[in-house]
Amino acid sequence: MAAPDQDWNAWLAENAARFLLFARQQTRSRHDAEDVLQESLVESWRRAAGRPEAALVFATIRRRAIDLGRSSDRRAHREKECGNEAHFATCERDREAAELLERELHRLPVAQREVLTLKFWGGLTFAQVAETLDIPPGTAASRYRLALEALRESLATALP
Amino acid sequence: MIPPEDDIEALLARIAPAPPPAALMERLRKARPRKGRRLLRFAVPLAAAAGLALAWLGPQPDAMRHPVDGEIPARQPIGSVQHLMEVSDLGVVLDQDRRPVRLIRTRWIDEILYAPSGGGEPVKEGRLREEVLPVSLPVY
Repeated sequence: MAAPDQDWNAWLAENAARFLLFARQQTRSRHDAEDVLQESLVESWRRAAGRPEAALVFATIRRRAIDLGRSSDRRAHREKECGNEAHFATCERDREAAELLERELHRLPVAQREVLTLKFWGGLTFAQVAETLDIPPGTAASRYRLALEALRESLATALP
Repeated sequence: MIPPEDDIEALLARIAPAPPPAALMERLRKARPRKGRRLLRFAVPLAAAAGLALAWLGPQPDAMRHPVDGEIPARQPIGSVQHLMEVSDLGVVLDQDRRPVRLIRTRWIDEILYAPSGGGEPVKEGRLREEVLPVSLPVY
């Protein structure tokens, strides 16, 4: 059995990227995303007394981001901070497609983007996505399909 | 040319969440939760205070009921559209006649159109459905 330090570090190495992606989408600044991420990872780990289920972590991130948005009055400051850092990584060959996709992802309605992120990069089932976002499973699946359709249409005009 | 949805998913599969910056990873590593014995000292009085606060607040008035997707009273289904979302191969089994059969699991979104009782535009509700289907397997 791995030492606690090693287990935590290994879990971070395996999962931090996808949790950070979701935290970035749920918050308005890099600093808020990192704060929410850290607090959520620690809370989830404590609640699970070890490696938590991904669905628990995503739900915690969402809840903390919502709480932060309600309690903070730093909207103008946060919007100024919104930078152009890339949220996705890819090989050089696909860089243009990645930038295009990232741009189109940001244009999706939040509800669709959330579902797409959790399903596709979060690795959750529709049932887990539904539980994380507190919506019916059918709604989760519909939003996923609508997100893919929206991307299909916008990429059709953007691609040569 | 409009790329089909599976091409969209293939495009999405070629990008991955960016790894966190090194400084953030270092910060997260240092934030490893320790056994919280100190917290227990505060947990009981905090819990008591929370309980008292909840008791004083009393029952909340009914919150405004937000409509949930598809939740509409007195409606008549008038049509549906089925979208096949996922297909996965479950493998080969033998049927009652000992013939091989391949089983596939399909996931569908059924969009059901309802006509509201008071008239107006039809309303759509999405439902997730899963079915396991046998596919015949020719044996030569």
